[in-house]
Order: sequence, then C-alpha cells, then structure tokens
Amino acid sequence: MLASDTRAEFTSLFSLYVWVTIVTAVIVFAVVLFAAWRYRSRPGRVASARDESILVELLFALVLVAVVVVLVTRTFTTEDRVDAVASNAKRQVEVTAFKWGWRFTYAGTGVSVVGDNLRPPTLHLPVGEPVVFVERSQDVVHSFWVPALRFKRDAWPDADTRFELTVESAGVYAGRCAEFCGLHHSDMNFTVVAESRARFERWLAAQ
Amino acid sequence: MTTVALERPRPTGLVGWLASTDHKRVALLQLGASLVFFVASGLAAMLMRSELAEPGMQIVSRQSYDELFTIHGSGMVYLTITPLALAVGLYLIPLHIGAAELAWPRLALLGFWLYVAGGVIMFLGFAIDHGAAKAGWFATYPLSNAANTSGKGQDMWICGVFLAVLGNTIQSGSLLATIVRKRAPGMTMARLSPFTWSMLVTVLLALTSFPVLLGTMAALEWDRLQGGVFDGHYGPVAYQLLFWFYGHPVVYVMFFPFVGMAAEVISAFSGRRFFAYKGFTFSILLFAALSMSVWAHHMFATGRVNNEYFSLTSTMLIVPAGLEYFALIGTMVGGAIVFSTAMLFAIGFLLLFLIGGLTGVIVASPPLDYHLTDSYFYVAHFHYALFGGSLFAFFAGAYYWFPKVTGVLLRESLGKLHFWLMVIGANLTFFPMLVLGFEGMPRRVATYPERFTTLNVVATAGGFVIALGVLVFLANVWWSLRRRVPAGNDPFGGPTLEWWTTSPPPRLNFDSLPPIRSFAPLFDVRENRP
Amino acid sequence: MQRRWTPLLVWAGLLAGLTCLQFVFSTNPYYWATLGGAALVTALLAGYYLWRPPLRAEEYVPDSSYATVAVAVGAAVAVVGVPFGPWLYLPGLGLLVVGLGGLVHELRVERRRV
Repeated sequence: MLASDTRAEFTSLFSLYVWVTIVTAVIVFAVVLFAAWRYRSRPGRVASARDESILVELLFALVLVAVVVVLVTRTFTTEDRVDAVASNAKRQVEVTAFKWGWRFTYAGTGVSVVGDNLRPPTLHLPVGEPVVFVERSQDVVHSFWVPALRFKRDAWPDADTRFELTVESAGVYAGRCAEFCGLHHSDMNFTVVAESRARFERWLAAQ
Repeated sequence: MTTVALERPRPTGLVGWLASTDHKRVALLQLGASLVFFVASGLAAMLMRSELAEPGMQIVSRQSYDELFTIHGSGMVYLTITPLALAVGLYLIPLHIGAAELAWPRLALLGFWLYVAGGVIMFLGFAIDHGAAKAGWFATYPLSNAANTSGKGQDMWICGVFLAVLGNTIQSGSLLATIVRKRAPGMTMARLSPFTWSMLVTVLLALTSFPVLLGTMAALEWDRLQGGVFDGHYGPVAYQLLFWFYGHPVVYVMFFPFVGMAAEVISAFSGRRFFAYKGFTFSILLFAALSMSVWAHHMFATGRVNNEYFSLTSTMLIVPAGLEYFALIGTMVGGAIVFSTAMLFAIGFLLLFLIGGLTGVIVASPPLDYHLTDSYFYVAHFHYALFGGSLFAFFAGAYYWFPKVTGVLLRESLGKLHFWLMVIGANLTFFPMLVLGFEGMPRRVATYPERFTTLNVVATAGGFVIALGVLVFLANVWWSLRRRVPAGNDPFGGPTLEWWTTSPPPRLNFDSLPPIRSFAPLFDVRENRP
Repeated sequence: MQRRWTPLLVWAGLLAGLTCLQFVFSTNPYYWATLGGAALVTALLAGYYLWRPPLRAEEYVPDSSYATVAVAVGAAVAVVGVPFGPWLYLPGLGLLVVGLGGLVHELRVERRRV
C-alpha cells in the first residue's frame, strides 16, 4: 500500500464516526428528554423502587464493546494506510519549519522555496502523484497542516518525521502551522498549489 | 470512635477563617478562591473573544494575546476547576461518610495556601518585564525553554503551577485517607454515595499522576536555569510524554467529582435511589483506570508515539462512559422528576457533556485527529466537556448544596435565567468552533482569514451571553444571602447523610447519625426501612 | 475481613493490566514506567491501608493551625525564589523551617491531650 489519498481516507472514516456520533446523540437526547417529560413529578406519581436492571445493563455493555471493536478496527486499518510511507518514492520534499516560516526543498532537483510570515511561500505539487515529505524544525515544534488534505504532522528539532500525501484534485489550498510556536504562529502560513504533472514539471524547471 | 475539637476558644474573624482546619471553612475558602480565578480567567477569555471578533489585531498585541490564552487555559485548569473539584470533596466527603472531620485536616489547609500562593505567583507574571507566561497551558518544549520564551513571567508560571498542583496532591492524600479510614459505623465501601465514589477515583488519579507533573515542572525550570534536561534527542518528546501523563488524568480530575455531583442531584430530584449503583461503581473504577492509560492521544500528530495503543485505550473509554450514562439516565426513568434549577443543570450536563464526549471519540481516532487536533474543533471538544460538562454539573451541585452550606435557599427564578443563559451561551460560543476547526482554523491564533469572520462573531457573542449568565449567578448568590429564606435541614429530600444535620452543619458535622443501611440512608429513614 | 482497601487493589490491578497491554504495541519505558509506576503506587497504598495500625478510640482535631500557613507561605516563597535567587528563596526556606517547627509543637500539644 503506497499512495495515500489522505482526504479520501479521512472522509470515509469520518462518515462512520459522524454516523455513530449522530445516532448516539439522537438516541440519548430523545431518551433524556422523553424521560424528563414522561417521569415528571405530578400528583399521584410515585417513583419506582427498582434500582437495577442487570440484564439490560449487560446487553448495553456488549453493544458498547461492539461499537469499540468496529471503530478501532476501521481506525487501525485506515491509519496503516495513512501512515504508510513508500520507500521508493519518486518525489520527495524536505520541509523545514522555523520561526516563522517554511522552506520546501524538492529532493534531487536543487529547487528550494522559502518564505515567512510576511511573504508566505508556495508549495507546488503534482496532482495524482504520491509525494513523500521529510519534515524537520530548526527551532521549536511546528506542525505542517493542509486542511484540504485533512492531514497534519509535527516538525521536530531533534528528528525527522516522514509522511506521504497525494493531492487528488488541482487547486490552491491553504497551509498553516498548527503547533503554537510563538509570536507569529498565527501568520506562519503557506499556500499549496496542486497542478497537473506537466505544469508542475514546467514550474520546477523554471526555478 | 469519637472526635473532639481541641479545647481552646475557636479563633474568630479573619484569622478564624484563614488558619482554620475545619474542612468546611477550608473548602469554602477554596471555592471562593476558585471563583475569583474563574472570573479572572474568564475575563482573559472575554478579551480573547473580543480580539477574535474580527480578523487582524484590534484590541491587544500578539504578545499580549499569547499571554491571555496561556493564562486563560492555565487559570482554568490549574487554578479553577481542579481546586474547585477538590473543594467540593473537602466540604462534602466527611458529611457523606458520617465523619466529624477530615483525616489530617492540616493537610487540607496546607494544600489551600499552596494553591493560592501558586495562583498569585502565576498572575503576578503580568507585572513582570516581558509579561506573563506565553507558552500555552502545557508549555511545549522547546518553546518554553529560556531561549525561546525569555522573561521571569514564564518561570513564575512554572513555580505557580508547581505550587498549585502540589497543593492539590496534598489535599488528595487527606481525602483518600478520609474515605478509607473515617467512615461512620455501617458506612461500608459498598454503601458509599455515588459522589464519594467519584471523589475516590479522583484522588487516586491525582495521587498517581500529579507527582509526575511536579517532577516535570521542576525539570523544566532546571532546564531554563541550567539547560541540559530536555534539549537532547527525544528530549522534547519526553517532555510531552511526561506532561501529558499528568495532562490527561487532570481532565478527569476535573470531571469525576462533577459527574458525582450530577448523580446526587439527579437522584434527589427524581426522588429515586441512584440506579445501577454496582455497575456505576465498577465502571467509574474502569473509567478512571483507562483515563490513566490514554495520555499520548494528545500526541497523535507528532509522529513520535505509538498511536495504536493510545487510540485503543482512548476508544475503550466509550464502555464505562456509556455505563455511567446508563445509571444517570436510569435514575430519571421511573422517577418523579422535579425541575429545580439544580435538576435543569444536571440535565444540561447530560446533554452537553455528551457532545464533548462524542467529539472526544472522534479525535481518539488518529487518522481523524491528524486533521482535527490543534484546531478549533478540538477547542470545541474540550469546552463542551469542561464547560458544558463539569461547569454545568458544578452549578447543579451549587443550587443543590448552597442551602446546606449557607442555611438559605438560592432564588429559583434567577437560577432558571442563569441556566438558560448558560445553555444558549455555551452553544453559541462552542458549536461554531466545531465548524471553524474542521474548515481549517488552528487553535492559539490571534487572527484568521476573512472567511472565518462570521462564525467567530457568533462565538464572541456567545461569550458575552456566558458572561451575563455568570453575572446572574453571582447576583443570585448575593441577593439570596441578603434575603435569607431559611432552608432547614433538608429542603429537597436528598438521599445522603448531610441532609440529616443542620444547615449549615455544626463544627463536628453531626450531633447524631441515622442508621446506615445503604448508599441512600436518608431515603431509608424516610421510607422507615428497618 | 476489612474491605476498605479492595477498590484500591482493583484499581491497581486495572492499571497493571493496561500496562501489560502496552507490550503488545510498544516497549517504550516512558509508557510502562509511568503507568506501571502508578499501578505500583496504588498497590502500595492498598497495602498500607491493609496493614496500618487501627485508629485510636478518641481523636482530637485542631480548630486552626498558624504553623501550617507558615509552612505553605514559606514553601511558596522558597519555590518562587528559585528563579530569582537566594535573596528570595533563603527567607522562604527560613519561614518554612519556622513553620515546620511550629507544626511539630502543635502536634506535640495535641498528642499530650490524648
């Protein structure tokens, strides 16, 4: 399993979780509000003396365990794919984060793009191709986040972090730093331009 | 065993309060201090929300904004909710177990003053060159080291956090000893009130995780003064692993006492014994144990921890949480529910904490967390859990126990206004954050792109509604204390021992005790059970 | 048999179980030393309550403790003195020692009353 379309993986897994969340919320809200109305105090109403219901409780516990099993299984399998980094990647970008900007170096090409909070850099990427990122920080912990790709990964000063992304549709996307890193954290942004392979190669050659 | 207060005239006036070893006085002092820090931290939030009403910087500088969110988070976690949770325990635990006083009462007083000193020191950072701490409430390394965050304000923050958490830990020791050793005859562990169980797990969490924070803060300060602690390979990761080993259990310390309070309120105002008591007590032990094992879920996006173990244990939390809801809702079912302000807040707690919990399940999945962590989605998650959850349950308890503590009732009309303002305010403030985070707004930012403006304005408006709600509560407290409608011993027909004694209770709590045959001894007395 | 320490032992067992579960996924000492340490501390607390001597028949509680306040303030000043220097932490330590002395005195007086 090589290429990872993180956005698609996120959307698929998120729909499962949102479905479970909404169903649970609807059931609990309904039960609580119904109970509040049905068992409200009124003349003649005597509270029930029953103080447990072991069978129902056990069945309910089993349902909860089943939900956990489903969620964990889907999460683990999705994560295996999202975290996987191809060892023989054709394209690699070195991301260097610093207070308060980014440098993107396209491995093997000598091309480097750098920018900061006053002039944010642009990261060009080819559409449909997996790109491996090797990320590092020059100072404090930062985090490379592209909301449109539904993915972020921290940048550390003491070790590289690696991840693989594939952008499936062309476009211009916002990039942010997502780990508080001091005074200009709010402005430590970058732009992702995802374009066809041909345009990307032309852009690369022109640098 | 009989308890006798030392024969010396009881100190009166200010001294009688500030050096008192009466657990009720220490608890009330701590409650008061927590409320002061709550208002101070809340004002910081109001400044933040005012700044965030528009993109760009209008009201404060970037540096000030960083100080504000650091102090808001720190003030709320270290100086408000944790001490508040312990204060409620300090007041109620001896009463719930039929004891005259805490075990080692001087420890409670010691813990109080350490906490207050810590809080004062933390806030004094504002008066220092370079300002108050500005590295967030968890002071990520290396941002929090001397090179990246200069100024004594950060050191004072570290000292303040150390002292406050030390105070909390010491008080937890006293509470554990009290629960284990000072129960009245007949009060077996299997007859402890749901609130007492919730405090028991709270103090276990505190005693086993807080010392790690003490060591980590000491190490961080050493690093700032001398270097050489967290600055090597794996050092920054180690800092986070150690911090979050405390940082996760503390959010449960900020939760369990309040769910215990909600349980008592629901039982009293449903006129019913707490449902599924055995399931509740076992699941609360499991809940607390699991919560000790999930801490690196705060680090999923780091790429430096084993995500699988921590997402497994985090997702497993669904089981005990669900069983607790089963017991809480089961108590309402079949009851005769009275919609006092306390009960309204308890129901609000059930529904709003649910949103906090469910969003928690979502971020417990690393592939989802990769997008959602460090964004406003996450801010919404923990505010629904702590504000919609813990704080709502605290207010439920406040309206329930205020008469016991003061001898007078709180006004119901103002109470209901307070409730609705909080419900509206909480949802207006935090629901938009779910969307903002999902759409890509990071947390801890002083400004944002234009397209996020509308939702931020809504959240800011919500903040003002909350502030109004808090004012209404404070007005209610002040007015009710002036009006003085006497409450009597047992205005609500509660199940537990504190309703047997006077409001407020005498120095040694009880002049007599009823027979204790179950976890709801006052229900037994009223039903004339043998 | 007294059951007061049972919940503590159950909790220690749960923590130990969760520590063992870690080894399926990782052997990082930052994981097992902290969680396992928590399990151990809880087990020790359970052991203490199992074996500790029984309470005395009659017990005195204080109404106030100035010494405790001195200990707290002294400790606080000493701690915040660490980043500032000896001019702050030495007086703090001094007050702490005075407070501890006062505490010892208070406890002796209490013991004599019993």
